[in-house]
Amino acid sequence: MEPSGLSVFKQIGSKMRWLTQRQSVLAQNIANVDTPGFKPRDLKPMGFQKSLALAAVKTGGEASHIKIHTTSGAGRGPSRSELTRVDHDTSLSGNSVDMEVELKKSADTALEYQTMANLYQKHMGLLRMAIKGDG
Amino acid sequence: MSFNAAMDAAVSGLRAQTKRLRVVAENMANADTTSNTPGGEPYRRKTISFKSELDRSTGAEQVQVRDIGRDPSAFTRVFEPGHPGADADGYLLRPNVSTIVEITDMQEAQRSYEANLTMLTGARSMLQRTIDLLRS
Repeated sequence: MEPSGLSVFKQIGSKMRWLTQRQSVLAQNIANVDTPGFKPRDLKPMGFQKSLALAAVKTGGEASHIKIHTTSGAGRGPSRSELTRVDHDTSLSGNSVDMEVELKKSADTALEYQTMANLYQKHMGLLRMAIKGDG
Repeated sequence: MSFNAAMDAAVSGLRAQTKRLRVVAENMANADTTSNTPGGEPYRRKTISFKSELDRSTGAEQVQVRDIGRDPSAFTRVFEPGHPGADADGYLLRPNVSTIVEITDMQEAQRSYEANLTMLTGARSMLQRTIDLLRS
């Protein structure tokens, strides 16, 4: 069994993918901080339902497996339905990017990413310990 | 890949702010540039505006310079009869550059540049952390 077949690794992986996409959306907001009429966007929060669906993949069969891989496939950016608009104070030029808010979100995202990477490593260590059997 | 999209967007922001800083520097350098022919026009302040553009390969909204225009506001007239650029009445037109406005603009550009740089290093450290997973 490959490690990506385990539900823990699958969930960590999908969360990491989500965080990466969010970081990219936030970078676009920051880049357009002086673009007239630009409205900042954000990813919809990764809800419990989605992680539940991921956890169910193991028992749920092929249909849900394929579905999840098409909605959050790698390479492409997030689909339009996954994005939400966030409106802060709009400036005279119609731009409503709040730099502080975006930077804070980005710091949060980076921290969560670190956490997920550490979790991944920890679980890998547990697996390794089980394989070696020397504790 | 989303890391690339994030870094590309941040880099486009850095590039745009650099161009903005260049325009501000041009305005500051020419804050005293007057005409040498009688009654001629002095330096006219340059302006810069941005637009967001969808990069098809990464799907990221990058920032681009829309255009570099000229500020249409009025010049100031000062009485300086001895100047070669003065008109028949002895008045000289001076550039419509306000150094205070330019410095404010410069600081804003600097702040935006730093924010983009923060995003770039943030995305980079996330990528680095992923690569580090291979080492353990």
